[in-house]
Amino acid sequence: MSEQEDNPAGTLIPPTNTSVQDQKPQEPVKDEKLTPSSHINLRVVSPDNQEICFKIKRSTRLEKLMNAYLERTNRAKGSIRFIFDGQRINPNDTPEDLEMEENDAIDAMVEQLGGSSL
Amino acid sequence: MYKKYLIIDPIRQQLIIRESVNASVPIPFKDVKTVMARRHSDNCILVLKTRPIRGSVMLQSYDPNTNEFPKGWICAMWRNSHKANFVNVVDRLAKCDPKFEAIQTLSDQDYISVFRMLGPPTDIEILSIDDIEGQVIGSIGPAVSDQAAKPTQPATATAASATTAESPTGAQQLVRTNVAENDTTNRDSAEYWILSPSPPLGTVAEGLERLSSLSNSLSLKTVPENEKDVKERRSSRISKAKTSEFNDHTSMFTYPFQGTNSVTVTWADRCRLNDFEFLNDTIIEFYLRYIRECIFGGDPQIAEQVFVFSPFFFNQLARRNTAAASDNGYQRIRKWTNKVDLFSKRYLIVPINESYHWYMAVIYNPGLAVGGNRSRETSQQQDQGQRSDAPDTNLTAPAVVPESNEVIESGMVALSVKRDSRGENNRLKRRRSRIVKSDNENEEEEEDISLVYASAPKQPVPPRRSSRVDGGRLQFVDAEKSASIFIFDSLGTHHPRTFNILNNYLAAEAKARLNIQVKEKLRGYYAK
Repeated sequence: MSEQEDNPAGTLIPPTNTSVQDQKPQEPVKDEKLTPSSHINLRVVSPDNQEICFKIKRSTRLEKLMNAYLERTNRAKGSIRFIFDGQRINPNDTPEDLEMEENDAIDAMVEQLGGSSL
Repeated sequence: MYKKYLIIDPIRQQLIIRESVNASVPIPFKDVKTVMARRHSDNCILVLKTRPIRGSVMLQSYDPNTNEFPKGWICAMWRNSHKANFVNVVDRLAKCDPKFEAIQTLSDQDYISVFRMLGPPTDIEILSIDDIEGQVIGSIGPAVSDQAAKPTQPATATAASATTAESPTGAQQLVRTNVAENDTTNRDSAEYWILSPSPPLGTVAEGLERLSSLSNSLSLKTVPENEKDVKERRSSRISKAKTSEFNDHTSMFTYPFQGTNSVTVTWADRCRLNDFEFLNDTIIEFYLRYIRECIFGGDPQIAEQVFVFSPFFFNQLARRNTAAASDNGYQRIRKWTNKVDLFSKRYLIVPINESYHWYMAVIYNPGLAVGGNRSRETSQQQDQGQRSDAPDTNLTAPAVVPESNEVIESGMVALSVKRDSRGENNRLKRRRSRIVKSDNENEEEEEDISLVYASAPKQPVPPRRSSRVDGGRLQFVDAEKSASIFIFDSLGTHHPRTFNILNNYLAAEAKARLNIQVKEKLRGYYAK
């Protein structure tokens, strides 16, 4: 389903909910009733193929996930774009809105700069 | 008391009657020739002059599910649009029985449609998104006593704001005409607005301002704030943004306003428009989509034929993965086009960021690469449409295939793609940088790609036609009949690798989606 599974680099990653580089044990973004249907595991993949997994309620705004990711990776706010299937994720979107499925990958892209007006 | 809004939205080319966040009624501009609004004692009356359409169609456009008109509104259609008669119509309507929710007279002539709100007293505010501060252009509502306390009430406020609307800053002109001059009482004074729509496509900054103000106007409802405070905060933010303080990551607006696939522009992004700053992906993506909507928004069928990729698309595709040699990048973005059929599009717009420089590739008629009539069909539809100038890439200058490497190195760009009517490239180019080193790492790949270069100075001047020299013979390059890739780079840098990557991508996409093997590579052109 996800591109990372087809990615040879991705095959090195054990199919667990722990991150590759960040060895902290996985903690859910929000501690709620963890029923399988209401929650979803999402992977955030950085350009250098590092993954961090998050468990999030399907109806939770993805802003929480994004903030958690920024905190975890020590990135400044506004420096990272979260892309899901080519679409930008807006703070108010929820996994339900975006029709995300279990173990889907979110791309964390660094802001691109270029050109200048003279 | 709740409010209704009449929003003039030149981007989507429609009027919106908005009752709540979730309930809004769009009316395309092409169905509306004149908009007038009049406050009539306790009722508010709007007059829309529509093109000749059947009454039933008009009603359907309001609630397609139930085919009913919203409660509290009266709709009437008269075939006469003369001003004097209009006043007459309003008067007649004001007296008519509120039991009737829809009155219509049918004929083949122009209609004016008259709407009257019944029931609880409401305000209607006419907002224009061209108004930079998002101020209310007109306001009509019940003539009750508490209106005096409110700062923005029709008689004075609209007169002031109508004059600002007339200033030539905006493309959208709202002209206020006071038709009923003999009507002297303030209470019943008639205010008319006549709308002459023309779709604006300003600079990036203008687009930002416009959308920000509209988004501001819409959110005014949910967060009841003093309008003056909002204005002051906005202007202080704009001046702050102009001093390049990149700290304010709060949202300026989200574009489009609804739906999931939207771009959130923050105040920090606004700073990117200042002199000597670099543009970021948000601005690029926002503006490309804004251009698309400004140009084609009035005609969804044509807009459908243009697909704008995310600025991250090309980087994801082209990124070399050191860990995996077999990784061609396609897997990374395979899912991005799950919901679109690229080969049915006429133009694919690919914004590309390399070495701190933005340039753009346009894939033209990709459907022809898979041998299909897929884009042909749509292009014919388009040609039959309202736009007679449908193909917006006119190949005007001659293009000559190099016969030796000397010509390649002399590197003049051959093909001129004229897009004056669209202007998008001029604007984008203006924003681009000059401080980019050319990407020479892949020079050796050039021979693999069919590139068309300009004639070197020593070569004879070719005829003013789209043609190329092939083995000494002249041949026409018929862009209509072949899929092509155009690269628009303000620096004139050559990007052989880009052609290659895009070609490989299209081949992979055709294989994955249509199971078609693409045999020939798309011809690449540099636009100048």
